[in-house]
Amino acid sequence: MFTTSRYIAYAFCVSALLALSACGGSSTNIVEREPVENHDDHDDDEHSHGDAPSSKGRLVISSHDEPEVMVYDLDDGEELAHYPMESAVSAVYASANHRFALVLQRDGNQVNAIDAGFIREAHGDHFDYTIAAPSFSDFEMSGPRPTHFTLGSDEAVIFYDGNADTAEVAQVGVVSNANLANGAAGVRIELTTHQHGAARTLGEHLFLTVRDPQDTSTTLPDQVVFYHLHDGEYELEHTFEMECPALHGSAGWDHGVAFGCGDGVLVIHEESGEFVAEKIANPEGLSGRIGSLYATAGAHELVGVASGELFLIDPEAGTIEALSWTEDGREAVAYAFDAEGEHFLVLDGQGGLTRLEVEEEWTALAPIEVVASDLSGLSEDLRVAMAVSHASHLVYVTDPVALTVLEVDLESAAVTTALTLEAVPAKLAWTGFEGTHEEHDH
Amino acid sequence: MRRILWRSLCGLGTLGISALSVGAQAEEADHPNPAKLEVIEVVALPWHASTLESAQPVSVLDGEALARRQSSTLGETLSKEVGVHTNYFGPVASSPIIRGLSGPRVLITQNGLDAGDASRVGPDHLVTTEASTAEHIEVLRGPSTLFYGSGAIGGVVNIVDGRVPQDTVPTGQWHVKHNDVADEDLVSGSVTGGTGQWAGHIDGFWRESNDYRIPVPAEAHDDHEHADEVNEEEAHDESRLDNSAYRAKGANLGASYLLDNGFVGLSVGRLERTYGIPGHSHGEEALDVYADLEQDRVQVHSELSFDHDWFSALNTRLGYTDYHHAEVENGEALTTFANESYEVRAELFHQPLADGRGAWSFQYKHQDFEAVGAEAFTPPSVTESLALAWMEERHFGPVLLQLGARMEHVDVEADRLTLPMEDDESLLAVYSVAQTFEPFSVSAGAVWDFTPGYNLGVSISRAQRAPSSAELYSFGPHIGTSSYEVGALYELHSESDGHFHVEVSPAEVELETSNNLDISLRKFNGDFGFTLNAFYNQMDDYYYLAATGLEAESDHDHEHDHAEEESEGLPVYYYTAQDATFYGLEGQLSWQLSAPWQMVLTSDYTRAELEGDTPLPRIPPLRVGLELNYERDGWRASVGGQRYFEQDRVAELETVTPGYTLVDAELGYDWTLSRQTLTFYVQGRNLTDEEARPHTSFIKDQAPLPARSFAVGVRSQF
Repeated sequence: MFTTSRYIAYAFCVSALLALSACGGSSTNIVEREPVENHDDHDDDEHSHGDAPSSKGRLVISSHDEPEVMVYDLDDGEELAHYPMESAVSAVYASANHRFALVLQRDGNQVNAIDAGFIREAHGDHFDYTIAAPSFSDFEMSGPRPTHFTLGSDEAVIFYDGNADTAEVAQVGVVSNANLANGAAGVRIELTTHQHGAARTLGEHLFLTVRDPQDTSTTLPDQVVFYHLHDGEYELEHTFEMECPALHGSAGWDHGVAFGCGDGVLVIHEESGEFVAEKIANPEGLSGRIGSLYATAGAHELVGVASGELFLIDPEAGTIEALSWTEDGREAVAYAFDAEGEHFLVLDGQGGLTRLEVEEEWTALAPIEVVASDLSGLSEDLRVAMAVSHASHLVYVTDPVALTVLEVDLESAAVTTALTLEAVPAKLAWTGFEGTHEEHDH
Repeated sequence: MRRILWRSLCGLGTLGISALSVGAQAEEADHPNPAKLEVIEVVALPWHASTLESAQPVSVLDGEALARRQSSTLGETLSKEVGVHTNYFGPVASSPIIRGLSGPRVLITQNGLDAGDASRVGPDHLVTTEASTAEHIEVLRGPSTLFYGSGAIGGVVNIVDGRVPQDTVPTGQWHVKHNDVADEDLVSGSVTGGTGQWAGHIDGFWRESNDYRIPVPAEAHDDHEHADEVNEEEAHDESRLDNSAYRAKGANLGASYLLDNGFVGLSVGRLERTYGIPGHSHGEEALDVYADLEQDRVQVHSELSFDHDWFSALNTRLGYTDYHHAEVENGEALTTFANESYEVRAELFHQPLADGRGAWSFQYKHQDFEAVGAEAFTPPSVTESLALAWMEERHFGPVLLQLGARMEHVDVEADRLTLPMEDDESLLAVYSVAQTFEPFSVSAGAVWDFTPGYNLGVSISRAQRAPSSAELYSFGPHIGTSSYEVGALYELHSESDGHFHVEVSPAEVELETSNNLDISLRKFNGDFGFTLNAFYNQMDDYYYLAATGLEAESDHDHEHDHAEEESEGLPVYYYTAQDATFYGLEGQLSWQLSAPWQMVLTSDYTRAELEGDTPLPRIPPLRVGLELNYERDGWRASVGGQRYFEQDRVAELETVTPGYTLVDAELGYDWTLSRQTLTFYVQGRNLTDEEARPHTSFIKDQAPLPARSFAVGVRSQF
């Protein structure tokens, strides 16, 4: 039984088919825009050498007052982008290739990444370089309280402390440059309990701290284990029996890693194909303990920090010696090696920058008074901060009072204003193309 | 009954022991191991018709046959299907070739929705589907634009899984396998069930392999005598194909709400895969490049029937995929590909009209494709398509008539297309390009049951395709194909000194049009059955990469070659539209020798040429296969071989590929334990350790097929 309406529908179908048969065309609309510079316009010789384009790089800066980060171009001082974050930013670090800035949000249990736009592509015998607009990366790595951050040759290592209140255990995330570029999560290891620990890679090995879950007296770990990368996964290889009570702080170099212990510095280095742990005892007279360590990739000596005092650690000789850096009792707030490992830099609470010349027996040069503003009124959670350029002999220091970032030439000691900001700067990281400098640890 | 028997002739089921059991069951009432009788429904067809009822050749790989054939790539899984070959890119990224057509002409769908990956852009890109958790795989050979639009002019491969459950019947399966040729391990499983009106599904897989063993050194030698001179030590060093290892895992979770008149369900899934890209080199030095891939997929399925005066049912599918993969070299992401896509398909069925049934189909698809880096040979582009199709079928006595038409509107936009300026190489000309295409497809087919147990299918179609963004806008080195590709949107001007430059062409870009005739003769009753297909496909404005004789350095954005100075330059290929003809034969014969014994003979042949009898590249050679199957008292055995003949009809810059024969065997035992059936099996592949280099592979001279291999495994179904 067919109704009239069905016949109408059928007729409609056939009519529509006929209408459809009129299709089958195409059109093209092309609009020419203003030409742009051809960054690949270089001769064959330049190809083979693959020189990086001349750029001072970009700074990724977190705001003290808002959960956001900004990206500034150091060549023209312009703000290129700003990105709101879900939680307050606790730290900003550059990735191993200085293309990304990793934004740690400790209270928000989250790590995000900003692609600053410095893309280096391998072409077998040379590299091609592209400077793209910054972007918010797809990468994210959540975990309880991301805190400790270190760099390997090709990867970043994030230590998540865990949370005793929520019974969340500590975790370690290893994120390669490729993971960041791909938005992939990287490799994650879950530990057995919470701890304020540390981790760092050395080639295919991952060294990290462990803590006895039964010990409720401290959140600091007391032992070190190492994992080996196998088929993309880290497998536990060995636990070092030597204890490192109240472990805090770590450093790594080409042939070893070190951790700060309450009773000295634990040095782990390779010997006859195996990793050996040795402890260098604290020197007499050291009232506290070494809780921070710094090294460059090719280092023969490490720098330890104990309550603002510097110590020079020789892993081979097994010695720890005090290192003088200030004559007027300045309070250190940040430390770093410069890009070439020629200077160890100490930024103090007055905005002064002291350079210790590594090759000159760690002699401290007169401080460069970088920040002219009166910093005495700053709240306790706001301090000056610095970021080291790997493209040149420059260091960038924040002035939270004047809302500027100052550029320091380490060779000439000249200070200029690099950026004028609209927000109070807190943490910052330098991104850009490295020159011919060796990589170094933070 | 007719449909049941047809199962023994359709798809890989015909080649497998399961087909034997089903066919035998239909004919032999005293078969010792009765198999479940089922009708193979093709989900890829709008009203889930059986393979028997389609005028267009359709085959289905399912059940035991799928379990046996499933491989790490879709191309390899389907490589023994009649009319289907693989573009073999190692065990990492092979995808299917249907009747000589591949890439943007063969659409890969997951549950009827676009796979949403980058596999249509390059042969070294993975098809993001997984065979180990699939329920069945459907192959539509020939133009299928009527159902799927522009990208299906050569055919469709639809991978169907149960990620969106349609009932609460508890079912499940698991599979564990180890293959020695690459130390490959596979674990997969799925469970579906539910209670009341809620149904749930979960599946997952994990697979990993080392580099695979090869019977000869990876690099093909022009002079075979020279190859014999390779000393044993060198041969040993080259006993594995470098950079062919992979690691993959994935999982899907789905839930449905069951209604009295259908269901509505949602699934979320994730797939991760890291795989080496064999044969990937820059200049003289072959560097290990690997791809790091991730894809998230969300699908919503709904099938509802109505008691309405006009409409009887509405099937809806929505999909969202977020895909990206990075090609990593020396720790640096060399190139990153991303594809974010949305798709909506809705099929509205009308109540029977004049004894006919039919439906209107609406489809919207949005794809945002981006490639960044050294091999970003095509700029970011957005493709949006909107389509409306109409399909009807009606029986006229013994003849089933099928009609359909589809109108499509395709917008392709590339907002930043750059070319070096001819008069000032320090600058790049920048263009915004917006293109609109309106392909139209129409199809008519008939299936005539001219005598009991036989039918004749005839399908005539005229299908159109909008060229893909890669075919339009490519400009740069494509390492996956070892070529420098220039898109159809450009004019390529060669100069007397061997240099060339490229300009945007003001000419209109033509639609590619396929005029296809398909004839199928099927016999599906008795101990002896067959299906024979003949096809003739006249393609107007067929887009292909034409060799230009030029060379270019492999750096992006460089227009000028340096033939004299750069001996390692890439050959320049230019997307050119020219009329082409594809025709060929496919045959499959199944003979039930006795209750336990079955013999299956298969063959296919495709001839493809441009106007003027110029062969097209990478066209599969003549292939003949023979398989003998045995099944009794739970034991299953099969032995068979496939002969790939020499392909000497080659395109410019292509070389002749010698023929080869692959011999396989399998022994299995079914053991029913409680409510599950366990199958223990041993498989042998390439038992004669033959050197086999598929002519259809871009890297045939760098990557032979695996050496002799043995696999053991256990499967379970409950």
